[in-house]
Amino acid sequence: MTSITVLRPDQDPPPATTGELAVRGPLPAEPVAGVVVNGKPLARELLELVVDELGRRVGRTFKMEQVIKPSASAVLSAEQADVLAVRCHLVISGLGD
Amino acid sequence: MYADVVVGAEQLQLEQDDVQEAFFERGWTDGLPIVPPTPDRVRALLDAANADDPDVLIGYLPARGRGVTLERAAINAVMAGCRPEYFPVVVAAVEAMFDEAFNLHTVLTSTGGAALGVVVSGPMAGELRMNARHNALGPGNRANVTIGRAVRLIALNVLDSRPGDSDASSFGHPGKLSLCFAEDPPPAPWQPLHVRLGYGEQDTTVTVLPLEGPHQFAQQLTHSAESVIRSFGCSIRQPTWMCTGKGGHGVLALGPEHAGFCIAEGWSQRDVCEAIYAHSRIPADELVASGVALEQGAQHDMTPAADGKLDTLRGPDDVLLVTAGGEGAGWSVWLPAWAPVQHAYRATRRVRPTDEPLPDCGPDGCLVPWMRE
Repeated sequence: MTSITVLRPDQDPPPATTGELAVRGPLPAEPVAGVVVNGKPLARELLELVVDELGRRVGRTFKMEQVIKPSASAVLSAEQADVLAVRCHLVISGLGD
Repeated sequence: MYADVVVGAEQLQLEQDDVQEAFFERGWTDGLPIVPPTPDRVRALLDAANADDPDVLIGYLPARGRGVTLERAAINAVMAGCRPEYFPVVVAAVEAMFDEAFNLHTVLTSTGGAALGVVVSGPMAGELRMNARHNALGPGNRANVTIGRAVRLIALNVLDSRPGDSDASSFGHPGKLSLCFAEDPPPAPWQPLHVRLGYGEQDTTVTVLPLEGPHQFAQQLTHSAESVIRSFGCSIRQPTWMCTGKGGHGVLALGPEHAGFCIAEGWSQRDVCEAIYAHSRIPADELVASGVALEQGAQHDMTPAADGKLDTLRGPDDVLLVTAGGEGAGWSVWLPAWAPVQHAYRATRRVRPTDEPLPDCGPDGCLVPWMRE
């Protein structure tokens, strides 16, 4: 048997971003749920249903804070992410097909 | 000369007979066997790109926290089967994929499953013996197949675009293995693609597009340019293409008969693109009658124009018109983009020849005007 030297074609995954998790505290009486409307048909309506269902499960009525992407292909801007972080008690950040 | 280039990627010692299985087991192939990327082979490609620093970053994808260096690109191009002289074309294709308009992260992720389509225009295509004629989109030409395969392997291994994981293609298609061809320079007065894009006659360009599989168009019982082009426009507006009624784009490769009819009747390439755009527009009623719902209040504005029609292509400029294919009964090919223009668009880069040095940008770097579109 003959051995040969080959080079790895892949690369190690990037290091996970480290950051502090938000403090998990009790929800206030009037919590705010953030959603990202990604531009797909009926995205807003679906997210409203999800937020309503969440409210039923935790016994609160959520106020919904929406940010809207121009299309599903666009990445959420840092400014939009900041808005959600500042204003919301929980955020549904992804919506699939 | 290339022996001087120091490759820095992690090295593995493998028994020669075990290389293929080792690469399959690690998920480093596209399902086909590979050429083992030995240091000498990789150095040969780096030398062909005049790269004395293999760590130069070709592009970086913030959404994935990953970038492609010349060295990683060369390793994967060796695996794809590229000869060293193909590597400058691979580098240009990868550079183009990182153009913001191409939206690479989405292209690699979407359930729509786009191929990384590569169209080469210019004298280097001939020098590399790329195929622009019979079977231009099929098997049989090493440059076409391996250049296209190289960009996909780079996406797989370096950008971690893994089927079933970060590559969420519902179906994918065979072009995701390799989809690369050359333009057959058109007869005068038509101009080759790279000239129409603003590059010099002597330049060679690579244009990348996120593409569905090719749709072959037959028009064999007429030599009327108007009939041929009208039928192609009508074929493009098929109801279930993701772009129909929304404003898409794509590549129209006219075969020699069809291009010849147009040239004989005095049509310019612009005339062809304008006619394709016009005939591909679709009455909203026709789309609805086909069973397709019109998007309202969402990312695609499907409000009909005053004539009741919707754009299938955003405009005439969104037809990337090239000539290719071999003589026969009368065939052309439409390669549709996988999604409307706001999701991802084509991008073009000039191929930097081996003997052309990189610009001296000083310690702070500089922007190089590779793209003219």
